Amino acid sequence: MPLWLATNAGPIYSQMLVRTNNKIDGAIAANDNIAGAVVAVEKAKKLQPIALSGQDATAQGVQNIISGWQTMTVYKYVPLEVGGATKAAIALLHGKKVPGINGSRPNGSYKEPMISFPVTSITKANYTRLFKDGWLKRSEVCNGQYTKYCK
Amino acid sequence: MKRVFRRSAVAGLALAVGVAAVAVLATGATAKPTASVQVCVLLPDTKSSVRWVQFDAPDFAKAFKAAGVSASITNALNDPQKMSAQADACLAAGAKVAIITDIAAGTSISIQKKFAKAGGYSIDYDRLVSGGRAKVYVAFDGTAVGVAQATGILKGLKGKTKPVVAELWGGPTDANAF
Repeated sequence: MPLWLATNAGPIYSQMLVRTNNKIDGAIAANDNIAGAVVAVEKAKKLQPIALSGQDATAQGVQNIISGWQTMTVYKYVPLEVGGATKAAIALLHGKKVPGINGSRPNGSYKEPMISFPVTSITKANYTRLFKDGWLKRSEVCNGQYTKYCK
Repeated sequence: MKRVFRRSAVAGLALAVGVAAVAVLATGATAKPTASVQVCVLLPDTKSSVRWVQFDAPDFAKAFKAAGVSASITNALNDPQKMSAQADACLAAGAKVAIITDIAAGTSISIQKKFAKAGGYSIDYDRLVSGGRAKVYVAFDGTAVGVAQATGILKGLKGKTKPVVAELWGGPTDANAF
């Protein structure tokens, strides 16, 4: 399946609803922009919110989560990755073993050592973490019609 | 003509090495790093995510500064030629490690080879360089992304009989969870 652009997601999701007589209970969206397109279609057709997952923890995604239109988003806390790469670079600089390797990834015939970091699920229950981390500003999320949903 | 050019290039290289050697001697007595660059961070673009500008660039700068390592942090603006030029400049400044977020595998592999030739190393950062030979791949757990999404959906579907789930996914996914 080719990469889907958020601008294509709305029409595609509309077609899915037509094919299923509006009986879709959940949707997995590649990212929050695509999830946003799903929400827009649901609202335009005056349907109820469904179980909907996204990715990237964008302001729009979090607004859809706190207002009940999106179930969760996958959040990648970048400082983890920066820390891993920095430590690896310093070790290589000094001819030392790279710390923190916890797996490998096949890359052709080469088994590339990997340092992988866990992702975080963001829901209504823990979204304020994004403000504490400096990932989003409260004002980016808690504005206009969404202010009333903010903790 | 070619020969003359080569000779002058070699002379230029020797001069550059000489300067670097002097710099090392001058600071050799202290534990402080030399003024040359040790690590290149080659970031991909500014559009695919806010992270590259808002998080990666400042966080790497902070982390390397705290470690006393001199780093060059550049953004290729999604232009492979620009990334290649940024890598060349960084290598010429004496860097031994390249942290690369891939935008074109051919370019990334060529950068990796240049670093290896200079006795250096490469790190694949957030994106695996397909066909490359990096020392390590640093990334988030891609499988965990799918698991987290599926778990979130399943929680939302509790109580539904024979639920219908749509997948609006960018790549191949495992639908076995449903």
